[in-house]
Amino acid sequence: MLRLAPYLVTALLGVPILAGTASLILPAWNYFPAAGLKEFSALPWQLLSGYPGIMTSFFLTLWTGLGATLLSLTATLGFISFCWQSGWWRVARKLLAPLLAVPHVAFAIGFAFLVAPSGWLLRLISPALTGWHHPPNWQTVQDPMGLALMLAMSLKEIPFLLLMSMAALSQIDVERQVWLGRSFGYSPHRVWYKLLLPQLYPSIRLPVFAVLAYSLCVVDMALILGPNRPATLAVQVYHWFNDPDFHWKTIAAAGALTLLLTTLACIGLLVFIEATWRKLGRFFLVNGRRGGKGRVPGAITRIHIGLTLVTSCMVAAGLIVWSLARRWPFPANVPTRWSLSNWIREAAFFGDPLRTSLVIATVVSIGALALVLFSMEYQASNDRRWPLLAICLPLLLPQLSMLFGVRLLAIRTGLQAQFPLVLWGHLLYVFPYVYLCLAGSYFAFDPRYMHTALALGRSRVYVYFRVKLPLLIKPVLFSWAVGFGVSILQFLPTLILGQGRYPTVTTEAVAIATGGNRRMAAIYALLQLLSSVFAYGIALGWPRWLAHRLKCGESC
Amino acid sequence: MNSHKLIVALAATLFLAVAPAAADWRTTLDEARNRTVYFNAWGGSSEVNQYLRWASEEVMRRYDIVLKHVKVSDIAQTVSVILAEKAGGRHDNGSVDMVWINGENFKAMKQAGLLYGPFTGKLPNYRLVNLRNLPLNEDFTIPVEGLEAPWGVGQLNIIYDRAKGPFPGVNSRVLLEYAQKHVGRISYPKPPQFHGSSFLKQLLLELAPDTSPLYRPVEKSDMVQVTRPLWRYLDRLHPVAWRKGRAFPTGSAHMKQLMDDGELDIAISFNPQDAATAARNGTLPPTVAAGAMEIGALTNCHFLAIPFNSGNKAAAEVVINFLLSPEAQARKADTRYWGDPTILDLERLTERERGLFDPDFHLFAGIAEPHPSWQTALEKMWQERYGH
Repeated sequence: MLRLAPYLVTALLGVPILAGTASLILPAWNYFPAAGLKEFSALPWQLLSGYPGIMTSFFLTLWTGLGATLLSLTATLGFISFCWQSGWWRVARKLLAPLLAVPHVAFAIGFAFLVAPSGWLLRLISPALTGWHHPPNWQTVQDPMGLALMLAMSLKEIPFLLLMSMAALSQIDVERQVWLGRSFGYSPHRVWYKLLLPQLYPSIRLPVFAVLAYSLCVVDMALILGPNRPATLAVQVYHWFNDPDFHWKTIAAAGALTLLLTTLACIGLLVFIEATWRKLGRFFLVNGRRGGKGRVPGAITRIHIGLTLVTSCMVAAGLIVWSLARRWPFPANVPTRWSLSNWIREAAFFGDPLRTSLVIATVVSIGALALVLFSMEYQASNDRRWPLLAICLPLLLPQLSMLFGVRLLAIRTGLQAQFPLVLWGHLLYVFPYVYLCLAGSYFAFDPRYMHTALALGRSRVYVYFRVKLPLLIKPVLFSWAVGFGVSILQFLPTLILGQGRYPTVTTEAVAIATGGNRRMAAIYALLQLLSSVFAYGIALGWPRWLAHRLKCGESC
Repeated sequence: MNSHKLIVALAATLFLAVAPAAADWRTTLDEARNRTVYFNAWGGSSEVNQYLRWASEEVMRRYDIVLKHVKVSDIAQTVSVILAEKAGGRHDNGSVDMVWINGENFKAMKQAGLLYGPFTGKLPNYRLVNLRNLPLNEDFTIPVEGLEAPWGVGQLNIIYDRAKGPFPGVNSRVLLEYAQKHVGRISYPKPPQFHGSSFLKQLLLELAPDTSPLYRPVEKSDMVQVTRPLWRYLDRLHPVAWRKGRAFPTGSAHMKQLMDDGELDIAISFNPQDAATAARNGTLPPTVAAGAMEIGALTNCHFLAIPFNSGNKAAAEVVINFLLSPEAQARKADTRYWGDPTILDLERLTERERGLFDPDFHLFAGIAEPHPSWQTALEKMWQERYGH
């Protein structure tokens, strides 16, 4: 049975990846028969390298992408080291699920509204403290350095990395190691730094790569928050792909390939840094310094995480208030005229999209989880890992060109069934995320549990379902919830592969967001949030409920 | 000479179409019954979405047609999909039955042979269309040739707030003086966004000493010479513009949002009734009004077309004919719903039909679109000068 896993995954993921890559590589070399281009040449590359401001775009991409990744990674690891099981930790834990469920576009809209010169923060103190009746001419969003974009991306990714870390930590015996370290006189954060983080990082390495790939290739958030003179490379590529003149698609393809290679190079860079650190950093791990209280870095971390939580909550609150606003001019703190009419008018129409979203997300996330478990168990039993790149590839290829390729393939083969195609399209993006989120914990699972149970004479299947899965329930459910959330947020796969037949809350949300009406955008963003928040709720609540029931069963 | 030939040809088509039209149309109506029409149209405006919901109910009630609005974020994506279908050999039963397009997207679809038609001559309501006063036979100077039916009129106008003082009959000089007095409160969308490029054309039409080269392909004149006054103007505007010209809004919608936030004092729109609609539904202050530029508003139209591989062409034709009807056009022009001006010739309507329209509404004096090669050239030059 398990032997089928590689074939199944290859068939399901490999085919569209090949189609997508082909529909990228060929046009990049000026072969694009649909637009009448049938001779290979390097023209697209020449046009790309000669495009005004392209180098700035390129460096902006590197700077914002790497910056956001490192910022969110240090904040996450710092928070774990300094706040493990503290009051902060418990507050953060409660807020994680709803924060993760905030869609990226919605977060960007809300964040822009918060920090813009006409944003909520300035409205709250104007005109009382500033004396301003007009917003100042500051460039706090769309700044040329891309700081707003970088900051917002890191804020959005911290909850994700934190969640992944929590899941991974369930496979590490933290309490006893902290106890052990402390009994040797190390301060708690030193125990983390020297003992636990080196164990944790391999388990969250893949999610970090996913964050990196996302940050480098992000379009939706960059359109709202990123600089536009020039824009980041991903945004440029997006505009070229969308240009009505088909000839731009060849330049777009060349740009997308550049982006792909850049992402691979950056992942390589992270791997290199990690390897170097393992060699050179060993000295710091074993130098025996017990360390002080770490007040300053501890305080910085707490402030950073505190700001993250407060900002994220304000972003969500801003969306809720906007969805109820009729007029909200600067510098009023809250709307001057409230109205429920937006909600009432849309209520008649969002039932169907909501249902479609939930059906697709449920089917796809469960399917993806099954496929992931299936292929991981195959790898675990063979003790051979699949190349990561192949798994991640769908996340690294630009969606538009990949789906264009898949659609072309579907047309060529006469595949008409649209709903299965939509599910397949979602699976392409849900599978890698579920895989990335689960891999660390799954492969860190101590096989001796299995060996013991098998030695007691139980069948492999029985042991898998009664021992391994229950012990891995936390990370498994986490990754399922992430998959559910990823499926809810898919826009292009739903639209292009479903040929527009299956409107979801996200296709509605993205379409309405292009109109810039913050009230409407807020409504659909909140609907997106509601659709995935309950999956995260299950992922966080179920294991606790199970644990509670187990305890109760023993004691009662 | 050419336009004469075109008129003669069109007149001939119309004449030939009229005689057997009634019987033909009945067949079309029969064919259309119980079909589903997938209409790909930009879904960013809740007014438009709301209007199309009403239209869906009507065509269901009248013609037994299911009309589904496929909300897209950019119609160019739909054009790509239809292109993929053509490349993949899917010549019938395509996924799209109707598209809302104009300008560059029409040009791309026409050149790639992605459009069905000519079909507009068949539509009974097409004879009500205002061919006298509106540039409906050309879409950004590309001959329409019956491949798309007009739906509404776009006129470049400037939305301003009367409460912030009068904004006199706008020309480029007034705009610059205003910007110099109110630093940071004027901007325009970043080209090649549609509204941004249109604003450049509007300015150039005013600033160029001689506009005749603008109506010929760009290769035929000294591009640098003709556009010099525009760049000189923008060099003066940008330092006193929003964000000192280091960032630009992404489009008309973004400008309106910024205006509502109090960051900008103007927004650029292509719908002359946009201000009235926005004031009514609360997205802008109740005191906003719209004004055209002094030399006349850059005028173009937006259209409805049917892809070559639609499997429901008859039903799409019936829907388009309905959308051209006086009743549908009047509702579309009503600022309570959408506020998009009609393309019908009110003099061809009956008394009762005319009564559906607001008698006080008049279009701005118009000015024709330059040759499309200028748009591409301006976008490229803007990108080189200011885009990075």
